[in-house]
Amino acid sequence: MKDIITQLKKIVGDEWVRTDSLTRYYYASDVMTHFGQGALYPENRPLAVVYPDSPKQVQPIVNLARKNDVPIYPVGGGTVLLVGSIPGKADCGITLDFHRMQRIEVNKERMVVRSQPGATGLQVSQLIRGMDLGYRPYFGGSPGTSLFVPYQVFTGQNKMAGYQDGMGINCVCGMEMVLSNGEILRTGSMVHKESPAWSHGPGPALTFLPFFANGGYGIVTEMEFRFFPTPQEVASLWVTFPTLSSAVKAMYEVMIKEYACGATVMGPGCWTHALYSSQHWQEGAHFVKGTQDINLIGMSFRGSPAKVAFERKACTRMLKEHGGVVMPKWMVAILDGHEENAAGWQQINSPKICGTFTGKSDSGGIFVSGGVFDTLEKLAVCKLWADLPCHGRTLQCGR
Amino acid sequence: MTSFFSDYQPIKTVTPTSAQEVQEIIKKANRDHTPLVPVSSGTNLQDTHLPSVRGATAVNLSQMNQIIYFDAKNRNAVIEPGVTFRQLEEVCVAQGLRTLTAIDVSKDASVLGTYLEMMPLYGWPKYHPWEMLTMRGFRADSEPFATGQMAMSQERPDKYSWGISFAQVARLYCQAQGTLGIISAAAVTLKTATPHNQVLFSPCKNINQATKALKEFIATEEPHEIFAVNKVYLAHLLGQKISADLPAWTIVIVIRGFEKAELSYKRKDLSALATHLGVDLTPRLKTEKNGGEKILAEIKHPTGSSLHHDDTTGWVPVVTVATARQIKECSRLFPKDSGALLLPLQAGGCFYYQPDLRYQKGDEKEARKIYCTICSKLLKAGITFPRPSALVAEQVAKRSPTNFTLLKSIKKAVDPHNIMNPRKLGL
Amino acid sequence: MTKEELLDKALCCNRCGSCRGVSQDTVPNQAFSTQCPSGMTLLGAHEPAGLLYIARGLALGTLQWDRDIATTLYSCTICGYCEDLCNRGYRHTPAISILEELRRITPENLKPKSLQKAAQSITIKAHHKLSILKEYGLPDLSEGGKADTILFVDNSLIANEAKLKEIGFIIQKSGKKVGCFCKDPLPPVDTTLLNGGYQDVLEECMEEIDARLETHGVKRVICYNPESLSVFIRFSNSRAEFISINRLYAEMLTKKPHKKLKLPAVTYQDPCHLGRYAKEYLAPRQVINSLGLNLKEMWRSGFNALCCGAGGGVLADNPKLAKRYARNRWEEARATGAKVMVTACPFCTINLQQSKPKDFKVMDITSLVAHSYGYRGKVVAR
Repeated sequence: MKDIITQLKKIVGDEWVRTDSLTRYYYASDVMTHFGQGALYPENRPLAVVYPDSPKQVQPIVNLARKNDVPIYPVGGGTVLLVGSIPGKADCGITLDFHRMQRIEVNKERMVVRSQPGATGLQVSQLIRGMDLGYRPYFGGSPGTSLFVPYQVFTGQNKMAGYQDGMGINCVCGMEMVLSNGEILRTGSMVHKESPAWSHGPGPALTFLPFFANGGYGIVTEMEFRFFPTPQEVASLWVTFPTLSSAVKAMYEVMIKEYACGATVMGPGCWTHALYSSQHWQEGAHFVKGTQDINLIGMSFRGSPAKVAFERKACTRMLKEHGGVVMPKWMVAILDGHEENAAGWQQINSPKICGTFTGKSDSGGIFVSGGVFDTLEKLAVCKLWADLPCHGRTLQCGR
Repeated sequence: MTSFFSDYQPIKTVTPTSAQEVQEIIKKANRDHTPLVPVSSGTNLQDTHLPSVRGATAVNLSQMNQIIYFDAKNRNAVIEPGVTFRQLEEVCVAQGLRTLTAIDVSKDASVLGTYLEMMPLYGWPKYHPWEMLTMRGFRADSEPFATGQMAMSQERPDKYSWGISFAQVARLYCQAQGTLGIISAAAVTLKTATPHNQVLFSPCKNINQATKALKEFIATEEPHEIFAVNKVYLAHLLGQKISADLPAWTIVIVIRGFEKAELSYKRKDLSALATHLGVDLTPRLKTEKNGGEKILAEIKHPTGSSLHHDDTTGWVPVVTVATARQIKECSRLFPKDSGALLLPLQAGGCFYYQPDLRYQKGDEKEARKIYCTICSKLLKAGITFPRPSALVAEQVAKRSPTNFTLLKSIKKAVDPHNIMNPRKLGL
Repeated sequence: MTKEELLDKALCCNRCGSCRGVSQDTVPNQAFSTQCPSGMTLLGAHEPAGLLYIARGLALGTLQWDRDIATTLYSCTICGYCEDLCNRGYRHTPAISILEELRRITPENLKPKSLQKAAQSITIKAHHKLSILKEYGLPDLSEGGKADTILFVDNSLIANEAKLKEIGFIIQKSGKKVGCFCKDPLPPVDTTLLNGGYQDVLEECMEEIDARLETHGVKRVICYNPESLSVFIRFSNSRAEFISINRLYAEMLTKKPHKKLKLPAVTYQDPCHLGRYAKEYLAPRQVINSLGLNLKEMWRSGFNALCCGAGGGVLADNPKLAKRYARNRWEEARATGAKVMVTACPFCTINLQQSKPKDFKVMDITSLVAHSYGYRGKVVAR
């Protein structure tokens, strides 16, 4: 291993190879395992953490790893909830950290953002906000999260605009990836510098190969995803229902008419949105405790003032017909900020959702149980959650 | 020369009626090293259903025409490759739904085949290219495969429920021109039929104005369908002769709604935008008072390629995706009698650009040369050929070497004997 | 803190990475969107979450002290941005107290040399210059008597003749009755004790200071050094009000006629301990405005202000690193088009002065005020 460290230093420079105890310890866990302290998943430390600055450095690292049978674990922001970046065995492997690869470029003509894996949601929001543009931020939306995670690794669902735009994967146009054989692959819109922002082709789309693979197919070193002009107006609507089934019935009617740009149906203990927008997690936790008998639909609208007004009015009418009650303003206040999601900027509140479990009265939080995909109807009656105490059930509507 | 795109005909056709039979056919082909060419309806406009090698057997899937499962509530259907748009639309109409139809692809075309090959749909500007959900079939080595929830064992009739197609395996079979396997069933998305529909037209002076205006209009997210056509294409759509009265380019916008008030606000919004852009927006064309009805009818049941050609004239669409700048540069390469269509994609960041070439029947060889030369120039300009025809496949492959190296290794992994539509896509 | 308490606090942070970057709508240059000075090294474990991981590891026994850990810990300027941001709507991670606790439990031999002697920082040198203040009419409370308001003298002032003259001059001009402990100064506390992990010594000093303030009826304490101000706000149990000297200046400039200063455009460095710790953003700006100066704010200002790099003992222990941190701030200053950097903290002044571009001047706000009132001494940067 010493020899490998020496060679790694030759590739990236001495200061960019870290083998100190703190660095190895820090990279042995992520947001998900942080609180479990090793109980949820073993805190396996890598042998070294390496910081490449470009695909030209990633390539020789991959070649070196391959020749020496050393596993590689790429890390974006280290906030992913899937333990994907933690070594599978103790004292094993090289972790690649992309802090030095944070470049973001906006191409207004091609309507794409090109970013490197170290770039975060916060950075891209800051960049494009002043340009009157939006992208589609996805769950996993902590500001420190690498953009690549919600688009590529995680099942990035945009709570308030996903209905219209689909998921993260639907917005990716192309990528550049270092394969395990050391070759650099460019797909879709990144095949050539001026390629149009189209992910499909030529022939079968290879753009999506690394999706959900937790870095198992290669290391994505650059990605392009599309952005959108900022809508003139955004608005939200929050309606409570006595039962989940009545909320689901109401939602079907909205979906048939294709109104709204995003919607979420929440079962009792409406945690997800509250924790995203509350000022601190305790406020959100109180909201969750206070909504144990409430089922909620939250939806967003965007477009011209006339479009937003029409759709909102129509949806309010439809939801009321199914027994929905529009949430009072004082309750909705905690949910302020979700419009930003629909407008196309990073919603910066998701750090609150992961909490501690110390057993004290002010502790608490959410473990994400993972996504299950099915029809709204089937999810509403899914037995998966029946026996879990204090659970929240969130059904995010896809297309 | 069998067709503009192909020099070969299959020597034999087999017509399975079940998935099991498909598997048997593939197994036998692997044993005998017989090339196979899957054919759903043969309407992909580039004749990828015709072989690129001698001695191929066509696998005619048209008799596998069951609608296996129809879910009106969740607006999906599981269909076999022989199900046509006409067939599916009949069921949809009865349930208040509609299919997403493809440009220049007739109602007798295979829905599955059309979606699998990602023929551009009128609905793409609004719904994006995610009409295929899950699928199942057989790899070229006859191993069965399925994607999403179709891959899971469930005691339920639908088995399609995952509403958004995940990537990886599923997308590998899209636009593959049958080189990796045969799909025996797929779940496809359906949309709601709207009682109120209107077409609006916006004449444009040139292609530049058209692309700019398309980008602005699509940003409103109010049109259900939106595209632009040049005068030649418009004349075909309207069943008219090409005349000087037709605008150089015309943007066609279809607005739909469940209430008249919905159309009303959309009309107002789009009109205000048109004024701002300095273009007109009208419900009627000067040269055709029933233009709107004709457009709606065409979208509902596209005529197919016969819209553009007759017994004496051949028609070759050039299937590309391009940026506005690339379109502006490259539109000059096409003769004056070319039709052309633009479909805004990715919020106007790029366009499906389908210019065409016409030739006199009998002049195919010369036409091919012109086609290949033009395509070569388009490639150099950076334009994407998402579904390269057999004539340009190798050129396209050379432009993206690592892409195709990987595709070739995938091809080799699933088709060790290279029996599935060999030589397509440059594989 | 017990280990359990330390762990409990450390687990407030969930590594969301929010504090990595500056929290504002737009930034002009993505390279600067990284906010944490030590995090600007781009080494993940040097970011706030990484530093807090030291606490987690030590509390759980999964990490043991070594030289690398200490070096990483002491590369932090404790600028407070991470805690300030977290409190603004995330998880209320008490990063500052965690980092200070880590410094407290750092083995002595691993502490930076300059901080190993931090406990001696409160030793008052016999040759201090506080008698200068008496010359400007400040009564010496060491000789008895009471005063509503006093000037607190910290280590940056105690032997700084030039600065004491400026301050004395200003106070005299203000006409305000401000006392001082000259003969027997109060322990000159600032953050040095915290930086070195000597909280116990600080607590003792605070007890003494609180008692003496009480004895002399002091209701208001004016602090020149923002680090002293923030230490008082956090640790004093006195009923006295602790304010920045900038408040005195701001008030004075609205009431007492003064000369407007003719200088090129200026920019202002929000000291971390004046801004984020003491929440004093307005007074220095009022002062700059009253002086007739053209203020061009750097794109990170107020609670988003970027640390100059001096804090946390970094300047004393690792001046090269402090200089490296300061370079980022100078880039921002340059971008404003200003030619003068106005400072309101002696440590910001030192660190920015030693790394300044040639065409820039660094000027202490106290000097500017003094000259506005006709002070004829040399304008000193520090």
